[in-house]
Amino acid sequence: MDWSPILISIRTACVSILFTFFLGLFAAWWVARMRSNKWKMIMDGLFTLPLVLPPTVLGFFLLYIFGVQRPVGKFLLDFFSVKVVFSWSATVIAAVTASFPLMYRSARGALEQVEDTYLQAARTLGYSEWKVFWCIWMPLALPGVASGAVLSFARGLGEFGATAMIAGNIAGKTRTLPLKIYSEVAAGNMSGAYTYVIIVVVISFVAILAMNYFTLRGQRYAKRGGRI
Amino acid sequence: MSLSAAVKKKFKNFSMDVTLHTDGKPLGVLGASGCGKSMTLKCIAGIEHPDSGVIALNDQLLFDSEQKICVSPQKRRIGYLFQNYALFPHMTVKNNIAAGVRGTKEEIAGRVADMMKLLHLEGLEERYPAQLSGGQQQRVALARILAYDPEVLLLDEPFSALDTYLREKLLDQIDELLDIYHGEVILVTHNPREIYKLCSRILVMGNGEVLMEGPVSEISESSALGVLEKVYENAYTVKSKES
Repeated sequence: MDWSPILISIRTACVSILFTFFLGLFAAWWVARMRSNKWKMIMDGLFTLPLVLPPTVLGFFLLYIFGVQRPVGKFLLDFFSVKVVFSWSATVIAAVTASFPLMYRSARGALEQVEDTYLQAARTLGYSEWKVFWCIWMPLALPGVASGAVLSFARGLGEFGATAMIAGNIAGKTRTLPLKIYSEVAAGNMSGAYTYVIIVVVISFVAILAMNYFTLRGQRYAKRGGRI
Repeated sequence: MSLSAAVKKKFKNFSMDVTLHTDGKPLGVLGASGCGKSMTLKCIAGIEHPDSGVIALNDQLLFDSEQKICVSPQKRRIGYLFQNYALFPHMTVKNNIAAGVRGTKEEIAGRVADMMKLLHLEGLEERYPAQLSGGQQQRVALARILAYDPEVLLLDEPFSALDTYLREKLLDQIDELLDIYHGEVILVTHNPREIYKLCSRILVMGNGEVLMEGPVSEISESSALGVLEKVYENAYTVKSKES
C-alpha cells in the first residue's frame, strides 16, 4: 500500500492548523472588538466567504495570487526562489484558506459569548489588552475555540478542490488523501480507494467526537458548583 | 483628595448630563434603574466614554473631551465593584484576589493573605466562584478590588444580588471597611437605606440628570424619595400622553 498520501495529508493538516488557529483567532478577536456594526458585517462577510464559495473558486483566486506570472508568486520566485504552485506548501495554503472560516466563526461566537463585565473588570484591575485576551477572554471561550480548531483540522485534512487547482495531483508530493481517492476512482480502481476512504472517515469521525467532547465538557469550573 | 466628573452622553432615546464631586467622603447616588447612574460610574472607570465632559482625579485629568485626553481604564487606578461581582469563573478565590496585585511572588501572596483575613475569607483560597455563596462572592470581589489598592472605589448596586438578611450583615461589614479605606468612594443604588448608612453625601438622579445633592444630614430620606417619585410620575404622564 502507498503510505505517502496519508503522510502528506497529516503533515498538511498539522501545519495548516497552526496557521488557521492563530489567523482565525486573531480575526475573531479583531471582529469581536469592532464597535461599528457596518464594518463588523463587512469583515465577517469577507472572512466567511471561503466557507460558501465553491472550492474551485478558492483555487482560482489562489492561483491568481500565487501564480508565477502574478505579483505575489513572481516576487516569491524572484527573491526567494520559492515556487508555491504545485508544491507541497500549496496544499497548506489551500487547507488554511478552506478551514479558516470554520476557526474564525467558532472562535468569534465563543469570544462574543463571554460576558463583557469580565473583560471590563480585568481592565479596571490593570490587565493590558494582551493579558485580558490570554488570561480572561480566551480561557472563558476555550470550549468553542477548541472545537473550532478540531473542526478546522478535519476540514484541512479533507480539502480537495482548491488543493487540486493550486497544488495539483503530484504523486508523493501533493497527492493528499482526498486526491488519492479521486485518482484511484478515476482510474477505475474502486478497491484501491477503500482503504483510504476508511482512513478519512475514521479520522474525521474521531475529530467530531473530540469536538463534541470539548463542547460538552464545557467549563469544568462552572459545573463544579455547590460547596465541597 | 478629590474626584470630580462632568459627563454628557447621548443615547437613542435618553441623554445623560451629570456633574458630581467627592472630596474624601463617600458619596451615594440614588436613582431608579435605567437613570444613567451605572453609566456614570462606567465613564469614571473608563470602561465607557462620554461624548463630552471632564473627569479629574486629584490633579490628574482622566478624561477631557476638549483636550482629547482619555486615560485607559488600566491606568486610572479606579476599582469597580460590579453588580454581579464579575469574579473570574476560571480562577480560584486566591487567584481572583491576586489579579490586580503587582509585585514579587511573596508580596502578592502576603497581600492576598491580608485581604482574605480582612474580609474573613480564610479557608476559601482554592474554591472557585461558582462554589461560593452570594455573600462570599461579594466579599471576594471586594477583597480583589482592595488588594489592587485603587484611589477610587466605585460600588455599583453592591447589595442588589443579596437577600435581605445578608444585606444587613454586609452593610455593617462594608461600613467598617469604608472607615479604614482612604480614597474616594461612590456608591450607586436604588435603596436609600444603604446611602444613609454608608455615605455622608447624597445625590439624587433621574432621567440622566442630577435632581438634588447635599449632605445626608440635610436631605431627609423622604424628601429624596419624593423628588424621585415626582420625576417618574412626570415621565409616566408624558409617555401616556404620547400614546
